[in-house]
Amino acid sequence: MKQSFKLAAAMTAFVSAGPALAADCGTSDGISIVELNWPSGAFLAQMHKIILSEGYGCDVSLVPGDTASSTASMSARGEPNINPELWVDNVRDFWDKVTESGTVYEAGKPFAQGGREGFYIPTYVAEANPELKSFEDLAEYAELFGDPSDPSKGVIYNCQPGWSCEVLVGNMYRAFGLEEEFNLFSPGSSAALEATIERSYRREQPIVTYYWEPTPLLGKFPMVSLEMPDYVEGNCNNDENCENPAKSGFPPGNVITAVTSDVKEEAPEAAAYLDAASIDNSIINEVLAWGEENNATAEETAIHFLQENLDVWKAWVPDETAEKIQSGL
Amino acid sequence: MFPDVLDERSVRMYVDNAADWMVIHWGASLEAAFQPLLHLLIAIEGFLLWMPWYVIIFLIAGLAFLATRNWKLPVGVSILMFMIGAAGYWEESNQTIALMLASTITALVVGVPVGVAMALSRPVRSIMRPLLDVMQTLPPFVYLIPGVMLLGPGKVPALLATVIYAVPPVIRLTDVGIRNVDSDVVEAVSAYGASGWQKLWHAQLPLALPTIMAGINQTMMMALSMVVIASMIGAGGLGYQVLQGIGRLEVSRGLFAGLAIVALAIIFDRIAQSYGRRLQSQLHMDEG
Repeated sequence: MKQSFKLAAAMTAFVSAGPALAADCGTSDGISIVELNWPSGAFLAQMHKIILSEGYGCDVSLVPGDTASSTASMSARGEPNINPELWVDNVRDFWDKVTESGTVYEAGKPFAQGGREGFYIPTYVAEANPELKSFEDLAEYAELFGDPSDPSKGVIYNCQPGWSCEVLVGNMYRAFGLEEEFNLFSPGSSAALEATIERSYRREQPIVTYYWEPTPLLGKFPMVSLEMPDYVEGNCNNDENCENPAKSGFPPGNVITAVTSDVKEEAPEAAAYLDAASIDNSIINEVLAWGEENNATAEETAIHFLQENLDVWKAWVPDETAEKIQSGL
Repeated sequence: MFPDVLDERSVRMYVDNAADWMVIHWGASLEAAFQPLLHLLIAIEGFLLWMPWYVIIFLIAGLAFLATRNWKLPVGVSILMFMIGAAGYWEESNQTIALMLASTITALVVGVPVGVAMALSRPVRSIMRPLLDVMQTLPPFVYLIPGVMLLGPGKVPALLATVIYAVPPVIRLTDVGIRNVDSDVVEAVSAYGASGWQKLWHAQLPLALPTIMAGINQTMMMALSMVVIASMIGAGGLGYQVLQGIGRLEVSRGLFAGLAIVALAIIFDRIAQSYGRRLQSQLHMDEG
């Protein structure tokens, strides 16, 4: 009798201790962040997770994904709550729809100078060919960027299937009349594209490829962006079925932190932090390059950033929160 | 947790640096060494894409007829191929068929001799068995990306990866087939004064042929199953359509391309199996 009483008391204490341990920052079922599958996206996701969980006590979970899967999920189910690196111009339809219905809003800009997309050539190629300055000039250099499996033409490397840049680059390739001189090759995955670029770089061979910033690859293998005309508003380059692709540059790299509105309503302090979080491109490049050199995981890269750049992130959070985060590192 | 016995980070950096060194110093020569394979693949692909579509369907139906001597399979095969073309995947399917045929041919040329060597020699068998285990279970992406770094993206590393993945069945089944040839027959042939080579060529291989055919069949299927992974390093074909479907969240694209792969698998599987069964009946091996 006494035994079972003690047992019941112990269990009650255990059970009642439960909710106290799971104290969160206001949201009803925790905050989910999509851990994007490229270096800068993964780093931002991990950084938000550390700050929100250590500083604000939120119950944060990371969901692996990419732009396509996370935007589909956000618009259909309102989850994940945060996309730390959304290139808005690439998902115009989704963005217009969710901002109109008010389910998702733009919290802040993770990159202070925005993102950049372009066609890149290695610096050693740019130095050896000073006349090759713009994307239009490329037509005369088909021989330099020869396709190993089709020596009669050059080759331009596209981004991975499923990314909106794939359609964009395909349309630009047509619009700038490069179909006769060049093949457009899809490497199949970002890993294969990076391996291809690394291979060309190690053997000092010419290569022209789509790429974007900020990325650790551009930190490791310096490349020069080919000049492109200004962005033409209202073009259909993003559309697979575009009949008349425009000779336009890439859309301005409007990269935002996309957050579902329930976070703003239920956890206003966390939302205020997300509005403020913004890092200089040069610092991001440095941090990503560090991660690449040291074979660090995204989490280790985020911890490194928080340890080395106190003045940057302390500006985003109130002082006591900063203390909590620092002690948790 | 497990105690820290070695510094894996420096071991990993050492391996990474070794890989970089290989790319710089062996890249050009490895690329040249694989040129014949690349030419084989481009030749098959060029042939399939140049021929009019009805000739291709006729050829495949013809193969089906030769394998079964029956009208049912050729008709079924023709209908499936027609549906693949009607779905808009003709060019991609032929690219996939070319990759599958080139890898199967390469796997045969490499695999059957190795299987024979394994059957006849114990040291070869003890070396090959762990190697085959590695080839069948090591995740393909592990050697795919270094393959891209060494050989460039596209058809060559895709072909190499497909051969690595698909050759173990033909090696293992050739080994088993030869070792399971009735020992009485082998004794009788030796008693009649046959040399080792004659014994192999005239008795063991023909009698092991049904099992070897089963190995070839499995190799073809595994080569087809690698198409999606191969397209992740730029091989194109139906795998690329599946990949685009996944990436763009277009369920229909992934589904239809996937069904086209299944249709190709059914076609070639039936043809190979029927041929295997005909061989067995010709050698009277199905009479127990």
